[in-house]
Amino acid sequence: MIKVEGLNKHFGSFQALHDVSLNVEKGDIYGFIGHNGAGKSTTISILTGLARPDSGTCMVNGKDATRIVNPSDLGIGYLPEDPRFYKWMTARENLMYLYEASGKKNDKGRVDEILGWVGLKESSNRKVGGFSRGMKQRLGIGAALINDPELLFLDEPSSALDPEGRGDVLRLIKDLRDMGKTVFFSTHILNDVERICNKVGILVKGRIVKEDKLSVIQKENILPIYDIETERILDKATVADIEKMSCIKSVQILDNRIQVLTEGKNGCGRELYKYFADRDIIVTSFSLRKNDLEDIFLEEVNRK
Amino acid sequence: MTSTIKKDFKDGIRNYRFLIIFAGFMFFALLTPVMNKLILPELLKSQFPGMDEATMNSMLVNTQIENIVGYMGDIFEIGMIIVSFTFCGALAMELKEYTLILPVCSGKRYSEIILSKLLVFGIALVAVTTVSILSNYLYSGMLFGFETDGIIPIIKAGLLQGLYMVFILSVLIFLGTLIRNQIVVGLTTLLIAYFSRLIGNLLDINEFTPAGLLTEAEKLTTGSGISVYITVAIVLALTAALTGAAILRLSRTDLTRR
Repeated sequence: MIKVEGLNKHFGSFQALHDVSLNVEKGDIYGFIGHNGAGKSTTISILTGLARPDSGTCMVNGKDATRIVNPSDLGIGYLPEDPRFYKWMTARENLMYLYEASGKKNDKGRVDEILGWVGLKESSNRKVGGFSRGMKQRLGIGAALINDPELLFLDEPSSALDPEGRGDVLRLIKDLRDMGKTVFFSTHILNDVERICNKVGILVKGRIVKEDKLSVIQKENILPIYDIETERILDKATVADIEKMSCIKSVQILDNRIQVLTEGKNGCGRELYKYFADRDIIVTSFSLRKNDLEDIFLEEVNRK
Repeated sequence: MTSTIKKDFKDGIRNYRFLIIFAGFMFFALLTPVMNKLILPELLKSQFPGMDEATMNSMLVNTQIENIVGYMGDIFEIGMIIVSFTFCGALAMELKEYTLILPVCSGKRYSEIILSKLLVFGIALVAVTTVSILSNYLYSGMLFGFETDGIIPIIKAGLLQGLYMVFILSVLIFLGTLIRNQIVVGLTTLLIAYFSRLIGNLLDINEFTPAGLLTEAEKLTTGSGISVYITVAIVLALTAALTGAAILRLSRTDLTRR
Protein backbone atom coordinates (compact mmCIF):
# COMPACT_ATOMS: atom_id res chain seq x y z
CA MET A 1 0.00 0.00 0.00
CA ILE A 2 2.91 2.37 0.77
CA LYS A 3 6.42 2.15 -0.62
CA VAL A 4 8.78 4.99 0.15
CA GLU A 5 12.39 5.18 -0.96
CA GLY A 6 15.06 7.77 -0.25
CA LEU A 7 12.78 10.53 0.96
CA ASN A 8 14.58 13.78 1.79
CA LYS A 9 13.11 17.05 2.96
CA HIS A 10 14.73 20.33 4.01
CA PHE A 11 13.23 23.35 5.74
CA GLY A 12 15.78 26.01 4.88
CA SER A 13 19.12 24.68 6.03
CA PHE A 14 17.53 22.15 8.39
CA GLN A 15 17.22 18.63 6.97
CA ALA A 16 14.03 17.16 8.42
CA LEU A 17 14.17 13.80 6.60
CA HIS A 18 17.25 11.82 5.58
CA ASP A 19 16.76 9.05 3.02
CA VAL A 20 13.59 7.75 4.64
CA SER A 21 12.47 4.41 3.22
CA LEU A 22 9.59 2.30 4.44
CA ASN A 23 7.15 -0.30 3.28
CA VAL A 24 3.56 -0.91 4.40
CA GLU A 25 1.59 -3.93 3.21
CA LYS A 26 -2.17 -4.18 2.84
CA GLY A 27 -3.82 -4.89 6.19
CA ASP A 28 -0.87 -3.63 8.25
CA ILE A 29 -1.37 -1.45 11.29
CA TYR A 30 1.94 0.36 10.99
CA GLY A 31 3.25 2.15 14.06
CA PHE A 32 5.46 5.07 13.09
CA ILE A 33 7.43 5.90 16.21
CA GLY A 34 9.60 8.87 16.99
CA HIS A 35 10.19 11.67 19.44
CA ASN A 36 8.41 14.98 18.93
CA GLY A 37 10.24 16.73 16.10
CA ALA A 38 11.69 13.51 14.67
CA GLY A 39 9.95 14.12 11.33
CA LYS A 40 6.83 11.95 11.68
CA SER A 41 4.34 14.65 10.69
CA THR A 42 6.58 15.83 7.84
CA THR A 43 6.68 12.26 6.49
CA ILE A 44 2.90 11.96 6.78
CA SER A 45 2.38 15.33 5.07
CA ILE A 46 4.39 14.02 2.11
CA LEU A 47 2.67 10.62 2.09
CA THR A 48 -0.74 12.30 2.05
CA GLY A 49 0.24 14.56 -0.85
CA LEU A 50 -0.04 17.73 1.22
CA ALA A 51 3.67 18.54 0.99
CA ARG A 52 6.41 17.81 -1.51
CA PRO A 53 9.75 16.16 -0.71
CA ASP A 54 13.06 17.46 -2.06
CA SER A 55 13.84 14.01 -3.44
CA GLY A 56 12.76 10.40 -3.20
CA THR A 57 9.89 8.27 -4.44
CA CYS A 58 6.68 7.77 -2.58
CA MET A 59 4.05 5.36 -3.89
CA VAL A 60 0.78 5.43 -1.97
CA ASN A 61 -2.16 3.29 -3.05
CA GLY A 62 -0.39 2.73 -6.36
CA LYS A 63 0.04 6.46 -7.08
CA ASP A 64 3.08 8.69 -6.81
CA ALA A 65 2.27 11.03 -3.92
CA THR A 66 4.97 13.46 -5.06
CA ARG A 67 3.29 14.07 -8.41
CA ILE A 68 -0.44 14.19 -7.73
CA VAL A 69 -2.27 17.51 -8.15
CA ASN A 70 -4.90 17.06 -5.45
CA PRO A 71 -4.26 15.02 -2.28
CA SER A 72 -7.65 13.36 -2.69
CA ASP A 73 -6.33 11.65 -5.85
CA LEU A 74 -4.59 9.20 -3.50
CA GLY A 75 -7.91 7.89 -2.18
CA ILE A 76 -6.80 7.90 1.43
CA GLY A 77 -8.24 8.97 4.77
CA TYR A 78 -6.20 11.35 6.89
CA LEU A 79 -6.44 12.40 10.51
CA PRO A 80 -4.07 15.31 11.24
CA GLU A 81 -2.44 15.61 14.66
CA ASP A 82 -4.86 18.39 15.54
CA PRO A 83 -7.87 17.96 13.27
CA ARG A 84 -9.51 21.29 12.45
CA PHE A 85 -13.13 21.62 11.48
CA TYR A 86 -15.38 24.57 10.74
CA LYS A 87 -16.29 25.59 14.27
CA TRP A 88 -19.49 27.28 13.15
CA MET A 89 -20.79 24.08 11.56
CA THR A 90 -22.23 21.11 13.44
CA ALA A 91 -20.48 17.74 13.53
CA ARG A 92 -23.05 16.39 11.07
CA GLU A 93 -22.63 19.34 8.69
CA ASN A 94 -18.85 18.99 8.76
CA LEU A 95 -19.01 15.27 7.96
CA MET A 96 -21.65 15.81 5.28
CA TYR A 97 -19.46 18.49 3.68
CA LEU A 98 -16.50 16.10 3.62
CA TYR A 99 -18.66 13.25 2.36
CA GLU A 100 -19.99 15.35 -0.50
CA ALA A 101 -16.43 16.53 -1.24
CA SER A 102 -15.74 13.25 -3.00
CA GLY A 103 -18.63 13.89 -5.36
CA LYS A 104 -21.08 11.64 -3.55
CA LYS A 105 -24.68 12.69 -3.14
CA ASN A 106 -26.08 13.76 0.21
CA ASP A 107 -26.37 10.55 2.25
CA LYS A 108 -27.53 11.01 5.82
CA GLY A 109 -27.32 7.26 6.39
CA ARG A 110 -23.55 7.11 5.88
CA VAL A 111 -22.96 10.21 8.02
CA ASP A 112 -25.19 8.82 10.81
CA GLU A 113 -23.38 5.49 10.62
CA ILE A 114 -19.99 7.18 11.08
CA LEU A 115 -21.28 9.47 13.84
CA GLY A 116 -22.62 6.44 15.67
CA TRP A 117 -19.39 4.50 15.17
CA VAL A 118 -17.25 7.29 16.69
CA GLY A 119 -19.78 7.79 19.50
CA LEU A 120 -20.92 11.28 18.52
CA LYS A 121 -24.48 10.63 17.46
CA GLU A 122 -25.94 12.52 20.40
CA SER A 123 -23.68 15.51 19.76
CA SER A 124 -24.16 15.46 15.99
CA ASN A 125 -26.18 18.67 15.90
CA ARG A 126 -23.85 20.60 18.18
CA LYS A 127 -21.41 23.11 16.71
CA VAL A 128 -17.85 21.75 16.66
CA GLY A 129 -16.57 24.93 18.34
CA GLY A 130 -17.93 23.58 21.62
CA PHE A 131 -16.34 20.13 21.31
CA SER A 132 -13.62 18.82 23.64
CA ARG A 133 -10.27 17.70 22.23
CA GLY A 134 -11.30 14.06 22.52
CA MET A 135 -14.57 14.65 20.68
CA LYS A 136 -12.73 16.48 17.89
CA GLN A 137 -10.28 13.59 17.67
CA ARG A 138 -13.13 11.09 17.34
CA LEU A 139 -14.82 13.29 14.77
CA GLY A 140 -11.45 13.43 12.98
CA ILE A 141 -11.34 9.64 12.79
CA GLY A 142 -14.88 9.73 11.44
CA ALA A 143 -13.82 12.32 8.87
CA ALA A 144 -10.85 10.18 7.80
CA LEU A 145 -13.19 7.25 7.31
CA ILE A 146 -16.20 9.02 5.81
CA ASN A 147 -15.31 8.14 2.22
CA ASP A 148 -14.47 4.54 3.17
CA PRO A 149 -10.79 4.56 2.15
CA GLU A 150 -8.70 1.40 2.30
CA LEU A 151 -5.68 3.28 3.64
CA LEU A 152 -5.71 5.65 6.61
CA PHE A 153 -3.04 7.97 7.95
CA LEU A 154 -3.48 8.83 11.61
CA ASP A 155 -1.03 11.41 12.92
CA GLU A 156 -0.65 11.19 16.71
CA PRO A 157 -4.33 10.30 17.18
CA SER A 158 -4.08 9.65 20.90
CA SER A 159 -1.23 11.85 22.09
CA ALA A 160 -3.14 14.80 23.53
CA LEU A 161 -5.95 12.81 25.09
CA ASP A 162 -6.72 11.74 28.63
CA PRO A 163 -6.56 7.97 29.37
CA GLU A 164 -10.27 7.52 28.66
CA GLY A 165 -10.06 9.38 25.34
CA ARG A 166 -6.92 7.43 24.43
CA GLY A 167 -8.70 4.18 25.14
CA ASP A 168 -11.61 5.26 22.90
CA VAL A 169 -9.29 6.15 20.03
CA LEU A 170 -7.33 2.89 20.32
CA ARG A 171 -10.60 0.95 20.34
CA LEU A 172 -11.60 2.69 17.10
CA ILE A 173 -8.24 1.85 15.50
CA LYS A 174 -8.66 -1.79 16.55
CA ASP A 175 -12.05 -1.73 14.85
CA LEU A 176 -10.35 -0.43 11.70
CA ARG A 177 -7.94 -3.36 11.83
CA ASP A 178 -10.89 -5.73 12.12
CA MET A 179 -12.46 -4.06 9.07
CA GLY A 180 -9.33 -4.95 7.10
CA LYS A 181 -8.17 -1.36 6.67
CA THR A 182 -4.50 -0.48 6.39
CA VAL A 183 -3.51 2.09 9.00
CA PHE A 184 -0.36 4.18 9.14
CA PHE A 185 -0.29 5.43 12.69
CA SER A 186 2.29 7.85 14.09
CA THR A 187 2.84 8.30 17.79
CA HIS A 188 5.39 8.74 20.51
CA ILE A 189 3.31 6.67 22.95
CA LEU A 190 4.99 3.30 22.57
CA ASN A 191 2.49 1.46 24.68
CA ASP A 192 -0.21 2.29 22.10
CA VAL A 193 1.92 0.76 19.35
CA GLU A 194 2.45 -2.43 21.33
CA ARG A 195 -1.29 -2.69 21.86
CA ILE A 196 -2.46 -2.36 18.27
CA CYS A 197 0.32 -2.41 15.65
CA ASN A 198 1.76 -5.37 13.81
CA LYS A 199 4.59 -3.49 12.11
CA VAL A 200 6.84 -0.73 13.37
CA GLY A 201 9.14 1.90 11.92
CA ILE A 202 11.37 3.89 14.25
CA LEU A 203 12.30 7.40 13.14
CA VAL A 204 15.16 9.17 14.89
CA LYS A 205 16.23 12.65 13.81
CA GLY A 206 14.66 12.18 10.40
CA ARG A 207 16.17 8.73 9.77
CA ILE A 208 14.49 5.34 9.84
CA VAL A 209 16.67 3.33 12.19
CA LYS A 210 14.57 0.19 12.41
CA GLU A 211 11.62 -1.19 10.51
CA ASP A 212 10.08 -4.63 10.80
CA LYS A 213 7.18 -6.66 12.13
CA LEU A 214 6.71 -5.92 15.81
CA SER A 215 7.02 -9.61 16.68
CA VAL A 216 10.33 -9.85 14.80
CA ILE A 217 11.74 -6.78 16.51
CA GLN A 218 10.70 -8.11 19.89
CA LYS A 219 12.21 -11.52 19.13
CA GLU A 220 15.46 -9.89 18.02
CA ASN A 221 15.60 -8.04 21.26
CA ILE A 222 15.04 -10.89 23.66
CA LEU A 223 17.39 -10.61 26.62
CA PRO A 224 19.27 -13.71 27.83
CA ILE A 225 17.58 -13.48 31.22
CA TYR A 226 15.12 -15.97 32.75
CA ASP A 227 12.77 -14.69 35.44
CA ILE A 228 11.86 -17.69 37.60
CA GLU A 229 9.45 -17.69 40.51
CA THR A 230 9.31 -20.68 42.84
CA GLU A 231 6.86 -21.71 45.50
CA ARG A 232 9.50 -21.50 48.26
CA ILE A 233 12.63 -19.41 48.65
CA LEU A 234 15.62 -21.27 47.21
CA ASP A 235 18.49 -22.00 49.58
CA LYS A 236 22.04 -20.88 48.89
CA ALA A 237 23.23 -24.38 47.94
CA THR A 238 20.59 -24.66 45.20
CA VAL A 239 21.51 -21.25 43.82
CA ALA A 240 25.19 -22.20 43.84
CA ASP A 241 24.26 -25.40 41.95
CA ILE A 242 22.46 -23.40 39.27
CA GLU A 243 25.39 -21.03 38.95
CA LYS A 244 27.66 -24.00 38.26
CA MET A 245 25.68 -24.95 35.12
CA SER A 246 27.81 -24.35 32.00
CA CYS A 247 25.34 -22.05 30.22
CA ILE A 248 24.71 -19.79 33.23
CA LYS A 249 26.57 -16.54 33.79
CA SER A 250 25.05 -15.37 37.04
CA VAL A 251 22.05 -15.75 39.33
CA GLN A 252 20.37 -13.09 41.45
CA ILE A 253 17.93 -13.90 44.26
CA LEU A 254 14.98 -11.73 45.21
CA ASP A 255 12.86 -13.59 47.81
CA ASN A 256 11.21 -16.47 45.95
CA ARG A 257 12.27 -15.09 42.56
CA ILE A 258 15.56 -15.55 40.77
CA GLN A 259 16.98 -13.85 37.69
CA VAL A 260 19.22 -16.14 35.71
CA LEU A 261 21.56 -14.54 33.18
CA THR A 262 22.52 -17.08 30.51
CA GLU A 263 25.27 -17.21 27.89
CA GLY A 264 23.26 -16.71 24.73
CA LYS A 265 19.81 -15.62 23.56
CA ASN A 266 18.72 -19.25 23.20
CA GLY A 267 19.64 -19.68 26.84
CA CYS A 268 19.33 -22.97 28.64
CA GLY A 269 15.65 -23.11 29.52
CA ARG A 270 15.50 -26.87 29.01
CA GLU A 271 18.34 -27.47 31.49
CA LEU A 272 16.81 -25.16 34.05
CA TYR A 273 13.38 -26.83 33.74
CA LYS A 274 15.00 -30.25 34.17
CA TYR A 275 16.99 -29.07 37.18
CA PHE A 276 13.87 -27.87 39.02
CA ALA A 277 11.84 -30.96 38.02
CA ASP A 278 14.54 -33.35 39.22
CA ARG A 279 14.58 -31.67 42.63
CA ASP A 280 10.81 -31.37 42.99
CA ILE A 281 11.02 -27.58 43.19
CA ILE A 282 7.65 -26.18 42.24
CA VAL A 283 8.03 -23.38 39.67
CA THR A 284 5.11 -20.93 39.64
CA SER A 285 6.45 -18.70 36.86
CA PHE A 286 9.13 -19.17 34.21
CA SER A 287 9.73 -16.61 31.47
CA LEU A 288 12.40 -15.39 29.12
CA ARG A 289 12.63 -11.61 29.50
CA LYS A 290 11.81 -9.50 26.45
CA ASN A 291 12.77 -5.88 25.85
CA ASP A 292 9.61 -3.81 25.58
CA LEU A 293 9.30 -1.36 22.71
CA GLU A 294 10.37 1.50 24.91
CA ASP A 295 13.69 -0.22 25.68
CA ILE A 296 14.22 -0.96 21.99
CA PHE A 297 13.34 2.60 21.02
CA LEU A 298 15.63 4.15 23.63
CA GLU A 299 18.44 1.82 22.61
CA GLU A 300 18.07 3.00 18.99
CA VAL A 301 17.90 6.66 20.03
CA ASN A 302 20.99 6.33 22.19
CA ARG A 303 22.84 4.52 19.43
CA LYS A 304 22.24 7.59 17.20
CA MET B 1 -19.06 22.51 -6.18
CA THR B 2 -22.61 22.74 -4.79
CA SER B 3 -21.55 21.57 -1.33
CA THR B 4 -18.73 24.15 -1.26
CA ILE B 5 -21.14 26.88 -2.31
CA LYS B 6 -23.56 25.80 0.43
CA LYS B 7 -20.70 25.82 2.96
CA ASP B 8 -19.55 29.32 1.94
CA PHE B 9 -23.14 30.57 2.04
CA LYS B 10 -23.47 29.23 5.61
CA ASP B 11 -20.12 30.88 6.40
CA GLY B 12 -21.50 34.21 5.17
CA ILE B 13 -24.65 33.85 7.27
CA ARG B 14 -23.25 32.33 10.48
CA ASN B 15 -20.15 34.48 10.70
CA TYR B 16 -22.31 37.56 10.00
CA ARG B 17 -20.30 38.49 6.89
CA PHE B 18 -23.45 39.19 4.85
CA LEU B 19 -25.10 41.04 7.72
CA ILE B 20 -22.05 43.26 8.30
CA ILE B 21 -21.73 44.39 4.67
CA PHE B 22 -25.48 44.83 4.31
CA ALA B 23 -25.77 46.85 7.53
CA GLY B 24 -22.63 48.86 6.73
CA PHE B 25 -23.70 49.81 3.22
CA MET B 26 -27.33 50.46 4.19
CA PHE B 27 -26.15 52.63 7.07
CA PHE B 28 -24.44 54.99 4.61
CA ALA B 29 -27.23 54.68 2.05
CA LEU B 30 -29.82 55.87 4.57
CA LEU B 31 -27.67 58.15 6.68
CA THR B 32 -26.28 60.31 3.84
CA PRO B 33 -29.63 61.87 2.81
CA VAL B 34 -30.62 62.46 6.44
CA MET B 35 -27.27 64.05 7.16
CA ASN B 36 -27.53 66.31 4.13
CA LYS B 37 -31.16 67.26 4.65
CA LEU B 38 -31.45 67.65 8.40
CA ILE B 39 -28.18 67.53 10.30
CA LEU B 40 -25.72 69.45 8.10
CA PRO B 41 -27.91 72.61 7.76
CA GLU B 42 -28.36 72.72 11.52
CA LEU B 43 -24.64 72.27 12.06
CA LEU B 44 -23.80 75.08 9.66
CA LYS B 45 -26.36 77.36 11.29
CA SER B 46 -24.92 76.74 14.72
CA GLN B 47 -21.32 77.14 13.55
CA PHE B 48 -21.90 80.23 11.40
CA PRO B 49 -24.86 82.14 12.91
CA GLY B 50 -24.57 85.18 10.64
CA MET B 51 -24.28 83.31 7.34
CA ASP B 52 -26.81 84.31 4.67
CA GLU B 53 -29.02 81.66 3.09
CA ALA B 54 -27.45 81.82 -0.39
CA THR B 55 -23.96 81.12 0.94
CA MET B 56 -25.28 78.35 3.13
CA ASN B 57 -27.14 76.72 0.23
CA SER B 58 -23.96 76.76 -1.84
CA MET B 59 -22.22 74.80 0.90
CA LEU B 60 -24.97 72.22 1.29
CA VAL B 61 -25.94 69.18 -0.75
CA ASN B 62 -29.30 70.06 -2.21
CA THR B 63 -30.02 67.54 -4.91
CA GLN B 64 -30.64 63.82 -5.18
CA ILE B 65 -27.67 63.35 -7.57
CA GLU B 66 -25.29 65.14 -5.20
CA ASN B 67 -26.55 62.83 -2.46
CA ILE B 68 -25.96 59.67 -4.47
CA VAL B 69 -22.48 60.78 -5.53
CA GLY B 70 -21.71 61.63 -1.90
CA TYR B 71 -22.89 58.18 -0.85
CA MET B 72 -20.67 56.54 -3.47
CA GLY B 73 -17.71 58.53 -2.12
CA ASP B 74 -18.48 57.21 1.35
CA ILE B 75 -18.60 53.68 -0.01
CA PHE B 76 -15.15 54.00 -1.54
CA GLU B 77 -13.66 55.54 1.58
CA ILE B 78 -15.40 53.61 4.36
CA GLY B 79 -17.32 50.83 2.61
CA MET B 80 -13.97 49.55 1.31
CA ILE B 81 -12.77 49.19 4.89
CA ILE B 82 -15.92 47.23 5.77
CA VAL B 83 -15.49 44.92 2.77
CA SER B 84 -11.75 44.43 3.30
CA PHE B 85 -12.04 43.52 6.95
CA THR B 86 -15.17 41.41 6.49
CA PHE B 87 -13.59 39.22 3.82
CA CYS B 88 -9.87 39.47 4.68
CA GLY B 89 -10.08 36.08 6.40
CA ALA B 90 -12.04 34.37 3.62
CA LEU B 91 -8.98 32.35 2.64
CA ALA B 92 -6.19 33.54 4.96
CA MET B 93 -8.13 32.34 7.99
CA GLU B 94 -8.70 28.92 6.44
CA LEU B 95 -4.95 28.52 5.91
CA LYS B 96 -4.13 29.86 9.36
CA GLU B 97 -6.69 27.58 11.03
CA TYR B 98 -5.80 24.56 8.82
CA THR B 99 -9.46 24.01 7.98
CA LEU B 100 -8.65 23.22 4.34
CA ILE B 101 -6.68 20.04 5.11
CA LEU B 102 -9.62 17.69 5.64
CA PRO B 103 -11.73 18.96 2.69
CA VAL B 104 -8.72 18.80 0.35
CA CYS B 105 -7.94 15.24 1.47
CA SER B 106 -11.60 14.29 1.06
CA GLY B 107 -11.86 15.45 -2.53
CA LYS B 108 -12.21 19.23 -2.70
CA ARG B 109 -10.29 20.77 -5.59
CA TYR B 110 -8.28 23.92 -4.99
CA SER B 111 -10.08 25.61 -7.87
CA GLU B 112 -13.45 24.75 -6.34
CA ILE B 113 -12.47 26.27 -3.00
CA ILE B 114 -11.38 29.59 -4.55
CA LEU B 115 -14.14 29.88 -7.16
CA SER B 116 -16.87 29.14 -4.63
CA LYS B 117 -15.71 31.97 -2.38
CA LEU B 118 -15.50 34.37 -5.29
CA LEU B 119 -18.97 33.36 -6.46
CA VAL B 120 -20.82 33.39 -3.13
CA PHE B 121 -19.22 36.47 -1.60
CA GLY B 122 -19.05 38.21 -4.99
CA ILE B 123 -22.78 37.79 -5.61
CA ALA B 124 -23.46 39.04 -2.09
CA LEU B 125 -21.32 42.13 -2.73
CA VAL B 126 -22.99 42.93 -6.04
CA ALA B 127 -26.43 42.45 -4.47
CA VAL B 128 -25.61 44.62 -1.46
CA THR B 129 -24.08 47.47 -3.48
CA THR B 130 -27.06 47.48 -5.86
CA VAL B 131 -29.72 47.29 -3.14
CA SER B 132 -27.93 49.94 -1.09
CA ILE B 133 -27.60 52.44 -3.91
CA LEU B 134 -31.25 51.86 -4.83
CA SER B 135 -32.21 52.55 -1.20
CA ASN B 136 -30.09 55.70 -1.27
CA TYR B 137 -31.74 56.74 -4.51
CA LEU B 138 -35.24 56.23 -3.13
CA TYR B 139 -34.59 57.87 0.21
CA SER B 140 -32.72 60.86 -1.21
CA GLY B 141 -35.47 61.18 -3.85
CA MET B 142 -38.08 61.34 -1.10
CA LEU B 143 -36.14 64.01 0.76
CA PHE B 144 -34.80 66.10 -2.14
CA GLY B 145 -37.06 65.17 -5.06
CA PHE B 146 -36.34 62.69 -7.87
CA GLU B 147 -34.15 63.99 -10.64
CA THR B 148 -32.29 61.11 -12.29
CA ASP B 149 -33.34 59.54 -15.54
CA GLY B 150 -35.16 56.57 -13.94
CA ILE B 151 -33.45 53.83 -11.96
CA ILE B 152 -31.38 52.36 -14.81
CA PRO B 153 -28.36 54.67 -14.16
CA ILE B 154 -28.67 53.79 -10.48
CA ILE B 155 -28.69 50.04 -11.14
CA LYS B 156 -25.77 50.49 -13.54
CA ALA B 157 -23.85 52.42 -10.88
CA GLY B 158 -24.62 49.72 -8.30
CA LEU B 159 -23.44 46.96 -10.62
CA LEU B 160 -20.22 48.82 -11.46
CA GLN B 161 -19.57 49.33 -7.75
CA GLY B 162 -20.35 45.65 -7.18
CA LEU B 163 -17.90 44.60 -9.89
CA TYR B 164 -15.24 46.76 -8.27
CA MET B 165 -15.91 45.02 -4.95
CA VAL B 166 -15.60 41.62 -6.67
CA PHE B 167 -12.17 42.73 -7.89
CA ILE B 168 -11.28 43.74 -4.32
CA LEU B 169 -12.49 40.30 -3.16
CA SER B 170 -10.18 38.61 -5.65
CA VAL B 171 -7.28 40.70 -4.28
CA LEU B 172 -8.22 39.61 -0.74
CA ILE B 173 -8.34 35.95 -1.78
CA PHE B 174 -5.06 36.11 -3.68
CA LEU B 175 -3.28 37.88 -0.82
CA GLY B 176 -4.79 35.27 1.51
CA THR B 177 -2.74 32.59 -0.28
CA LEU B 178 0.44 34.59 0.38
CA ILE B 179 -0.18 35.97 3.86
CA ARG B 180 -1.86 34.01 6.64
CA ASN B 181 -2.45 37.07 8.85
CA GLN B 182 -5.89 38.33 7.88
CA ILE B 183 -5.36 41.86 9.26
CA VAL B 184 -2.27 42.28 7.07
CA VAL B 185 -4.27 40.97 4.11
CA GLY B 186 -7.02 43.57 4.78
CA LEU B 187 -4.61 46.47 5.23
CA THR B 188 -2.58 45.56 2.13
CA THR B 189 -5.76 45.38 0.05
CA LEU B 190 -6.86 48.81 1.30
CA LEU B 191 -3.47 50.27 0.43
CA ILE B 192 -3.67 48.79 -3.08
CA ALA B 193 -7.21 50.17 -3.56
CA TYR B 194 -6.48 53.67 -2.29
CA PHE B 195 -3.12 54.02 -4.03
CA SER B 196 -4.38 52.69 -7.35
CA ARG B 197 -7.19 55.27 -7.33
CA LEU B 198 -4.82 58.05 -6.29
CA ILE B 199 -2.37 57.18 -9.06
CA GLY B 200 -5.24 56.78 -11.54
CA ASN B 201 -6.46 60.30 -10.68
CA LEU B 202 -3.00 61.87 -10.71
CA LEU B 203 -1.99 60.38 -14.06
CA ASP B 204 -5.51 60.62 -15.47
CA ILE B 205 -5.55 56.91 -16.33
CA ASN B 206 -8.54 55.96 -14.20
CA GLU B 207 -10.34 54.23 -17.04
CA PHE B 208 -7.44 51.77 -17.24
CA THR B 209 -7.55 50.95 -13.54
CA PRO B 210 -10.25 49.13 -11.55
CA ALA B 211 -11.12 52.40 -9.82
CA GLY B 212 -12.32 53.61 -13.21
CA LEU B 213 -15.49 51.60 -12.47
CA LEU B 214 -16.22 53.91 -9.55
CA THR B 215 -15.54 57.02 -11.64
CA GLU B 216 -17.92 55.69 -14.28
CA ALA B 217 -20.54 54.84 -11.64
CA GLU B 218 -20.42 58.37 -10.24
CA LYS B 219 -21.39 59.77 -13.64
CA LEU B 220 -24.88 58.24 -13.14
CA THR B 221 -25.47 57.96 -16.88
CA THR B 222 -27.43 55.40 -18.80
CA GLY B 223 -25.14 55.42 -21.81
CA SER B 224 -22.05 53.24 -22.09
CA GLY B 225 -19.08 54.80 -23.81
CA ILE B 226 -16.23 52.69 -25.10
CA SER B 227 -14.19 53.59 -22.02
CA VAL B 228 -16.49 51.74 -19.61
CA TYR B 229 -16.20 48.57 -21.66
CA ILE B 230 -12.41 48.89 -21.58
CA THR B 231 -12.48 49.35 -17.79
CA VAL B 232 -14.86 46.42 -17.29
CA ALA B 233 -12.71 44.22 -19.53
CA ILE B 234 -9.55 45.20 -17.63
CA VAL B 235 -11.20 44.51 -14.27
CA LEU B 236 -12.56 41.14 -15.42
CA ALA B 237 -9.13 40.18 -16.79
CA LEU B 238 -7.41 41.25 -13.56
CA THR B 239 -9.96 39.36 -11.45
CA ALA B 240 -9.51 36.22 -13.57
CA ALA B 241 -5.71 36.53 -13.40
CA LEU B 242 -5.75 36.98 -9.61
CA THR B 243 -8.13 34.03 -9.23
CA GLY B 244 -5.94 31.81 -11.41
CA ALA B 245 -2.85 32.89 -9.48
CA ALA B 246 -4.63 32.15 -6.19
CA ILE B 247 -5.56 28.63 -7.36
CA LEU B 248 -2.00 27.96 -8.53
CA ARG B 249 -0.50 29.35 -5.36
CA LEU B 250 -2.88 27.36 -3.14
CA SER B 251 -2.13 24.12 -4.98
CA ARG B 252 1.57 24.67 -4.25
CA THR B 253 1.09 25.59 -0.61
CA ASP B 254 1.93 23.12 2.13
CA LEU B 255 -1.38 23.25 3.99
CA THR B 256 0.16 21.63 7.05
CA ARG B 257 3.00 24.17 7.44
CA ARG B 258 3.09 25.65 10.96
